[in-house]
Amino acid sequence: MPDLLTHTLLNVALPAGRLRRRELLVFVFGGVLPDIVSRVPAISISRTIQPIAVSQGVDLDWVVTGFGALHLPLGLLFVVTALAAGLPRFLLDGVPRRRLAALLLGGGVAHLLLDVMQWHVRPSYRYLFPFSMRPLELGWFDSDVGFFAWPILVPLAWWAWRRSDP
Amino acid sequence: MTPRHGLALVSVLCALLFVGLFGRAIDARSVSLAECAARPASCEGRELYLGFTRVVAAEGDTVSLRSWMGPVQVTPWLPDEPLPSPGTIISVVGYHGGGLVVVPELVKEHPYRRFKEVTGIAMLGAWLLALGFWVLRRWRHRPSHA
Repeated sequence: MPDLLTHTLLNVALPAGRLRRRELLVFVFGGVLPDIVSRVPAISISRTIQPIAVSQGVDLDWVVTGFGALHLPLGLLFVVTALAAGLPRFLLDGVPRRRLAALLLGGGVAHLLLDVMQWHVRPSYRYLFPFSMRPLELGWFDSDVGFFAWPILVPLAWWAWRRSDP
Repeated sequence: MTPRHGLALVSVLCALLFVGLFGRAIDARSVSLAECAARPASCEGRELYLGFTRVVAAEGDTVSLRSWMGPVQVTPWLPDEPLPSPGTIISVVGYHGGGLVVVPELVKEHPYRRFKEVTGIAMLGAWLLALGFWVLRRWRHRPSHA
């Protein structure tokens, strides 16, 4: 996966000033959401609970890999629906729930689209699950070098941020 | 419970179910080195993937790796790939060669892994801090306090 900063910068730049800043922040958060809900629990479990579980003979591999489901389109849809429906009113900051869901989903889809363009030594994004287990990857750039785009993305994001209405 | 809360609850349950289904589906299709070490005969020749694993030593045609499952030997190393230095992070696609041995077919070095980890943790920290401050601010300015 490209790093979170690459996803953040790209999602700031993508709307090119067409969103108000409050909405832009929701869109940008949607862009980091797939990694936050999938990688963070998976890495946390694999580095803390899993070594202990293995020594006790308990297999947690499926739990660790299972969180990858929230980095798939359908998993993302569940997370976004839960957030948009479950957030208390005071956190909405005047953004209607349907609009919030659309912005989070849009940001998340931008994240998944960027990820599908990568090349990994073993393709692993099974975006069509549960309909197919076939990994999808376009292989346009090495997954390790997303940060090479920062010199372009930083000024683009700055320009888009300045263009958006407060 | 309002319909909105019901929808949120159902979505959380669906997400958890999806996590379980996906995890089990992947688990059924792959073998882990830990399983293979326990039952070498059942795994020999099956495909294995070791992602982002640290090189401990490299000598001759054998590279020793340290994974959470313990020490792993990658041998024989691919003749057209340079031997990695100790401390390097690599990924290996290969097949199980018995015990904790992997016969590599494809390897990739990750020279920017440490940089990605550091920037990733920094960005995650920044996001969580920003979210925390934002929630706190919204809580203080919620309508019942107006």
